Amino acid sequence: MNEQATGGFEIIVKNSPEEISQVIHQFITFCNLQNLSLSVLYKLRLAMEEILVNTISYSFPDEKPHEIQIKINSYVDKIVVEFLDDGVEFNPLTVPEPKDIPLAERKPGGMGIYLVKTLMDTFEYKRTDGNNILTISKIIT
Amino acid sequence: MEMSQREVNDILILSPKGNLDFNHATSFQETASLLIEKGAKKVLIDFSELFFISSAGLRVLIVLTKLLQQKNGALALSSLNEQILEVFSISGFHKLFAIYSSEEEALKNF
Repeated sequence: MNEQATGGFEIIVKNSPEEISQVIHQFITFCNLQNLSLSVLYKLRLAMEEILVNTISYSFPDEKPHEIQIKINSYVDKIVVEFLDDGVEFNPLTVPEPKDIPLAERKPGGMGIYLVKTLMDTFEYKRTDGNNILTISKIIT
Repeated sequence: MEMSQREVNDILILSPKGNLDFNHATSFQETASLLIEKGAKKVLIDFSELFFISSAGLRVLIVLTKLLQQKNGALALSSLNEQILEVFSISGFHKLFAIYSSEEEALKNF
């Protein structure tokens, strides 16, 4: 496969919750230029929020400043987003499915990643050179 | 977050506007919790002007339901858009809440 991206951009953000709104704003502006359906736009926005909140909340227990690199690329038929951080190893594919847990037993966390895994068309994780690399894609046609 | 509130019969109707995301979930939870602490027992959240909810917003709904259950109250939701309904369905939340297609229907049956 040798696909050519039709557009894209890269953002580097600090591991601070204040950064998330700005990234989401830029991402939505980019997505709006791609003429996405409301349904696809909703899912991509959700994925962006859930992954960033999760990464910033759990990947950096040392509480030191870190950077998260986000690469966004559009293709004819899909949007691909890659998240790279140097936080502790965390494979979101191992998060259990919380969907059938009764309300009384539900605890915070877990649901966001489960939603992203379900709503995206691909969801891949790898640990390379001390970095977490999470890549998601959504078919847009 | 911007939210209007009114009472019809004994039901408190909350109408948040915009996005119930990580950025707005806490303020919504604080406002709604305060109203429950003050005595609201039947709370209807009107989603007609809510465009987006993330897991942060879903968590708030769980917190509010548990708070109401402690006070023998209940939470219901109305007018969820198609995208939000899909999120509810995938997360299993559609089984946890009384969901009505419109406010009228909710007021009739809640």
